[in-house]
Amino acid sequence: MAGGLKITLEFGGGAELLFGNSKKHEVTLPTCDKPWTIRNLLPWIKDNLLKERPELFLQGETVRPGILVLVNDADWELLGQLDYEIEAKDTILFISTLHGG
Amino acid sequence: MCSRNDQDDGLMEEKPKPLWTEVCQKCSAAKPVIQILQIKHAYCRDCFLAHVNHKFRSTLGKSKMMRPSDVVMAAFSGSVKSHVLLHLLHAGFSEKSHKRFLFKTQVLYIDEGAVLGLPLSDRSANLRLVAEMSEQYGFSAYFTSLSCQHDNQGLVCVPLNKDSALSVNVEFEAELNNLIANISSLTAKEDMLKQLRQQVLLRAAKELKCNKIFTAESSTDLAIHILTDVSLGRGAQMHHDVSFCDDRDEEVKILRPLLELSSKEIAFYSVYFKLSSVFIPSLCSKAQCDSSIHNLSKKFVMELMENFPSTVSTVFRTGEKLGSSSSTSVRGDQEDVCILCQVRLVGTAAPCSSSQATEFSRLISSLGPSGFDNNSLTCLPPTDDTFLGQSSCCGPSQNSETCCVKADVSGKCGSGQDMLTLSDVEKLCCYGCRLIVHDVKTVSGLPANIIETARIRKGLQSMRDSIKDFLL
Repeated sequence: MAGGLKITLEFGGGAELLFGNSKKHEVTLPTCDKPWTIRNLLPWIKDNLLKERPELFLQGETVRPGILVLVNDADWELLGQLDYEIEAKDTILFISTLHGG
Repeated sequence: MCSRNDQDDGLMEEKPKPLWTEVCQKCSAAKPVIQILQIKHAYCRDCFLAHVNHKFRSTLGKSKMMRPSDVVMAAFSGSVKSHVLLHLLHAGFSEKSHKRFLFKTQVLYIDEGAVLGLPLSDRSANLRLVAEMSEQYGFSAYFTSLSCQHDNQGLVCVPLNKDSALSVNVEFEAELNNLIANISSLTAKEDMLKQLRQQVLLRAAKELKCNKIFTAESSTDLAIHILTDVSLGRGAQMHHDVSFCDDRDEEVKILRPLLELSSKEIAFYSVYFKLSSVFIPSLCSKAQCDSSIHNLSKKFVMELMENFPSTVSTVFRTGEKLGSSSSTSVRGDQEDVCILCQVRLVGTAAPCSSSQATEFSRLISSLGPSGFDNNSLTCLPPTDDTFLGQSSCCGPSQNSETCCVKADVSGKCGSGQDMLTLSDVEKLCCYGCRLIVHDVKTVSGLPANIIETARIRKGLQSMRDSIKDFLL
């Protein structure tokens, strides 16, 4: 696992605004001894991708209420939410429903 | 080494699945992809999409309001929700003959970039994206600008296609910006914007000869609206703001065909159909969650969704059941509706009503301990018995002689039709809109048509007052 874990992160519904207005990020997660879960992915996103206002994306250890998370087009609530273990080539989509209009 | 994933690919099955079954609870065949909160069911993709489509059609069907001759204007902002609305409508038009929608549809985009301070290049780019999106469905599309409310005459809507260019009337835009800048709190700004948008929609619908407007509010939005409306003192009109049909306007009804769907369902629908959206920031984008009442209620509802999912639908259902008795009664003339939101005004307040108490405490607070005397009380809006004798055109002045003298000279009441003050406008507003007007600094910033209506109504009122004594 020298190359780390390659995954695609996508942001939509306004969440992309906090990530330099870019909707799609191909990232490689560094190798570590624990398996990558969404729980430890979120702080990584905060440190590496998030451009501004972390309080608008994260709340406590999870995402802010109103932001939906889809792993490979499936609801993360069916996959164990924060405890879902990320696999290579996963696509994780964060879509905000907080914006009216 | 985190090679655990590599070693056992089949680990997924062994994982404890929290509450949900392995298969879709509808077709029991495919793997579920979405958990729908209200039903507490896990659906697979196909069943979910069928479910959304069914809910949309049944909402329209149950209402028994759609006629084949109807012309519908779909309000399209480019957001996820409104794109889903277009997609669902399009799906309805492509159904097999017996299920196909028979009404006609047009699409309207309102450019609000001026209020948000977006550069013109961004606004034109947004317009082009919106044009592309609406074009793929083959609906005839139009666009207009929020600032058109400052223009009393002329056409509002411009056909929208790939090549249409955004033309900006600098004068009106400046007026609009002036109006928004004149409002101090974000809450009032948002509320004003909402009312303006509603008026533009209605006006455009009349121009395009549409008798119904579709807007894309989800049940989550409406739950937020309910709480906001109550906090803003719009409890009386909440019924119009959150039910399926808003029939405040006599000619054009505003319908909300997505109101049975939650924002989650809408978001998933758009993901599965890969519906693109234009993200146009709004006034409250990136704002602190406590910056306005609307943002606060949004935060509250979102947190409810997270922790107590079924409560949101309770809020929404409760709002749906509330109706006001006046809404069903026969329409009177256009005189007794609020000039901003067209809600029916509750004529004179009953003695000791809460709105009167609010007025009273505002008056006392603004006058201070020394400024209060017997005369001050007459500034309060008249109730049935106590203040009936006061002529409203002369304000608090006890001396109605002066008014009538002036009236003799000029032929009309001296307090003037051209001298429109904020308090005059306020009198023609409902309680909720009064709060907006309170926040406005000068009357001149208000849209032309509002000022015009206020003037006409004030003129009529003063005329009525001046002949009152001669009537038997």
